[in-house]
Amino acid sequence: MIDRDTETSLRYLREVIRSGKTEIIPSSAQAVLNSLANSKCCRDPGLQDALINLLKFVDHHVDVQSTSKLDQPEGMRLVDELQKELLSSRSRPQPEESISSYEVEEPDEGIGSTVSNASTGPDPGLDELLTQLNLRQVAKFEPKFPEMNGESEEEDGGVLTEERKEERAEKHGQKTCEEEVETLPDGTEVRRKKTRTVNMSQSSRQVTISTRGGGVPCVSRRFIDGNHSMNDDTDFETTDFFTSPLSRMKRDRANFLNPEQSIGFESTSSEPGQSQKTKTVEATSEVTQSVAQKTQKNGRVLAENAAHKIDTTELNARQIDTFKGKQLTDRKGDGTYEEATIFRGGLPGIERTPADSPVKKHVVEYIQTFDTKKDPNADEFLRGTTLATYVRLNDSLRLHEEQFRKKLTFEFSSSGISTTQSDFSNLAELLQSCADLSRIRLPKKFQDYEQKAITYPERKYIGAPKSVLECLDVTDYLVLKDREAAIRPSEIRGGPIDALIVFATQASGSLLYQEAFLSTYRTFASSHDLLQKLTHRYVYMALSSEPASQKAARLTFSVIVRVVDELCTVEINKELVAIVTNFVYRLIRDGNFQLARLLRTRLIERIESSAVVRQPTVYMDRLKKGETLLDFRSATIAQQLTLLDQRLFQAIEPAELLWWAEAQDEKRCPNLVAFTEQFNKMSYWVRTVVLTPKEHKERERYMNKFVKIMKQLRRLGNFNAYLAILSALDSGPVRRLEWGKMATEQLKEHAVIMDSSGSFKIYRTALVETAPPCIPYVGLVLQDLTFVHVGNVNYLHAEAVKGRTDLLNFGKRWQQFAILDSIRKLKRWNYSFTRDDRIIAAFKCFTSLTEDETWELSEMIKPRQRRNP
Amino acid sequence: MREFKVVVLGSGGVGKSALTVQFVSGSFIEKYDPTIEDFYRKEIEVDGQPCVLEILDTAGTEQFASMRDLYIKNGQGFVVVYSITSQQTFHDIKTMREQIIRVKGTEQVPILLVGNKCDLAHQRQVRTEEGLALAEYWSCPFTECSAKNAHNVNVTFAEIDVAVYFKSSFVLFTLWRPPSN
Repeated sequence: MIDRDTETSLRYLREVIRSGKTEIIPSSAQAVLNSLANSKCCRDPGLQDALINLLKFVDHHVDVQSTSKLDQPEGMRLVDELQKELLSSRSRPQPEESISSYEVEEPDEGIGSTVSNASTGPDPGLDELLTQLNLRQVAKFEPKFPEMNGESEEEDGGVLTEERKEERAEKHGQKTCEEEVETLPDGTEVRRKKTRTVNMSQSSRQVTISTRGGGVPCVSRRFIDGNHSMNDDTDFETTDFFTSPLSRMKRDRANFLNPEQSIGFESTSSEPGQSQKTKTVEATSEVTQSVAQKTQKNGRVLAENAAHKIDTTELNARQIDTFKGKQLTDRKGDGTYEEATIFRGGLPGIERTPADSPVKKHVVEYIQTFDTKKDPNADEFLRGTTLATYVRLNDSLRLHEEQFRKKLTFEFSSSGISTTQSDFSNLAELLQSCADLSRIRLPKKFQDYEQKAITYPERKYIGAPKSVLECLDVTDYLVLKDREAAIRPSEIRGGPIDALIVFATQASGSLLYQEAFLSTYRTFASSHDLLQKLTHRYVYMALSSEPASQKAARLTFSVIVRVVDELCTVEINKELVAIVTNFVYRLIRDGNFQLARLLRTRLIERIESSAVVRQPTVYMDRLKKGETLLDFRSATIAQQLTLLDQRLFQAIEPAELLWWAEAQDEKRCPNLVAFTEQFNKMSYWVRTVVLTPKEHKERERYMNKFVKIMKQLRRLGNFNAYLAILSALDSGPVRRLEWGKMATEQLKEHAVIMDSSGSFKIYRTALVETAPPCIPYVGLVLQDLTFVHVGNVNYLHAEAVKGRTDLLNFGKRWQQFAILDSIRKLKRWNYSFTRDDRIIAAFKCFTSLTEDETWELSEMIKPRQRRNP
Repeated sequence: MREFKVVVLGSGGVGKSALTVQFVSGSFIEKYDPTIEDFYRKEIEVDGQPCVLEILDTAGTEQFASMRDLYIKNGQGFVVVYSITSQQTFHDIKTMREQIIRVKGTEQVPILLVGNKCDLAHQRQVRTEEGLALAEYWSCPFTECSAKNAHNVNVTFAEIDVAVYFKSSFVLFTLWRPPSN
């Protein structure tokens, strides 16, 4: 018997093959795989063969460059074959259930499987997890506002008053529900239900007013008030307030205990003498902290600053314990945990209204890539694995929002798999580094390591290179900064390539490391080689039934998904596709249809979406006769230029930037090349537009227009177009001509931004202070990456690492990651303008004269003065 | 303190950045952050007086051709680099002096011509005489040198030479006065 989904998808695939529509065959075949993913007969070898053969046939056409002709009769035959197998597989006896852990667990499975957890203590499950989560400490939020400089108060004897207002509020709620089902020897069932709700909220407000100057000694006054809904917080201290809120909560849990019991009798099929206890926990917490500071001098407000930070956590977890008599025979659990931190400049309602935040959108996007929305079983594979990190760090708190978000989906069971503890401590670290409002690059750890000696843990001898890929834990192979590195893995300094790869799949590795690895691995391994190594590791790990190996396989798989998900167009070739598809066949052979389906979907989506962004069509006829740029408002022109830039900017793959810095290979960086070409085109176009008119007055009008457009671009944070125009107006042929006072002066002010002093300090500061969305000057990014590449050694110096020469310098990668990450973040923002075809037509496709031609024009307007010899 | 701005010019892939790194830091280290403020600054002594050289090397951004005028405008001295292993890069810079003069609006600009990668003599495409001839035409100093990139850890004599040569050339720059007539 074939279910309806499968039947429909098979019929569809047949139709596609018959009509010879090669381009949609891969996705039609995917539909078949999708429909089979939940099939009960995925262990049938006959079915597996038929499916693999069909996919092999189809995957021949996956490759974009493939031109091979479709063998229609063969395709039909393979579909028939599959259908035949499907029809017969139900009647055949199923082979023994294998040890694979990817099977969707049946609710009644696992009874009497292990008694192993007796040794791991009485309650290693949910309660332990809760304790871990409750360890999260929300650091006191202390933003640093810019100092008032310029006038010093001693000079004019003014009275400086500083008022600092700090408000903090926290809310915690926890609902625990325990349900016990006991089956009595007579077959009846006893149910007990206990519900416990704990709610706590506290708030405090502190105002400090300090007065200085005017010959009076410094006076500081402080007002504190606050309230809390807990009744025993007599030792309440403001300073200690956020360090251990939850220990207090535990103390008071008893007060809020609200047990509720209900007993019922029902007949069930459960085994007599057995009982099952289900515990569910929903816990949420929200900590809001606001700080406002007002500086006044002689009653005049000099500066007013405000910022706030909201930390939220949400846990939903479930644990099922099975007892036989008094003995715990099985424990299973799962759940989700989400943490988010939002920074925002300005108190709510004072400065900025929180506009529709782009962040939310991206959360949804990311989850969709893992298919969880479409298929509730999909996250089955990713259990025990971090689904995604949302790290949104922006450089200046004063001006805009920052946000962290993290979501974990986890499972644990009596077989020992537990949640990834180190992730939590890392997150705390991440948050810490974020709360520290200095310019964020990467953890300080790798910025100041030069001063501290590197300690080297014992590195095992690496024999056959493959053996590292087969290790459960490679920490010993890595060069770490200190012995705590397992807890703070961001301190990885280097190691052999394979160990660095494996470490990215380890639960003890930090999310930050994983991100840095995924952003920079191309500097030491091709995606092709990486996938080969990761699939090798997966296969090796999946062979063993050990829970630890199974977990390693799972983690490896999720890294494979990430790698496939972020492949660049230029990387997708026959060989690479073959690695992934062969791995898919392997998964099918193992009966892991779900994993096979997930991976293949990602691959096909990636192949289909990989096309270089092209400039949109320009409708010249939209422009009215005689209409020119001068007929449009500078602000709207700037918006349209920005829209055009945005498309090209977002298309740039971070990998292209890395490759460019290494070899400047245009073929590998199509999107980057398109972006720089547009920059140059715009610049030469501006020169042309300004120099072409015969009348001086007309030229002057265009000059002034572009100065105005520049000003608008600056306001929009589009540094790319801003500099393209600046480079035109300040170029040799344009600058040497005489311009009006206004244009000359304003241009001079603008030109300061590209002052190269202090490694373009002025520009860097301006970029940091600009609230996103913004488009940076990519040239400087390339320059930075080039110097990071050239200036840092690829491998650690042999003399520093006991003569070894195979230890990759990961410090270099941390630096590359820091630069790439800042671009990645900016790429996520969107400008919300609508396209205006009339204005775009006025750009005349940026057609322009060459550099020499503009010089000729310029020298025709004003002949060059040759110095008399 | 006197400050002097030097702009490094040349096509991509000629090893400009390696020369700059060599000059600013003396050697390749394990941690090098170009975004810090004084990365491109180097203090040297001229006539017993301390003097700061600010190097503007836009390696990696050669594709942003339209930005070149802005960079040239900022510079007071210019180091024009080609690779002796590539005739194309030599060809690319032949008009460079003209470009500099055009933008600066004066012929009185100190330039240093450098043929890089002379350690790769077996791949040489540009003869030393060609470099010398161009330098003579430009009436500027000329050198061939090698700044091995970071992948080669051994410090060779040639590398030390380049730093010394650069330094003395920069000293020349700072002392440079337009020829009186």
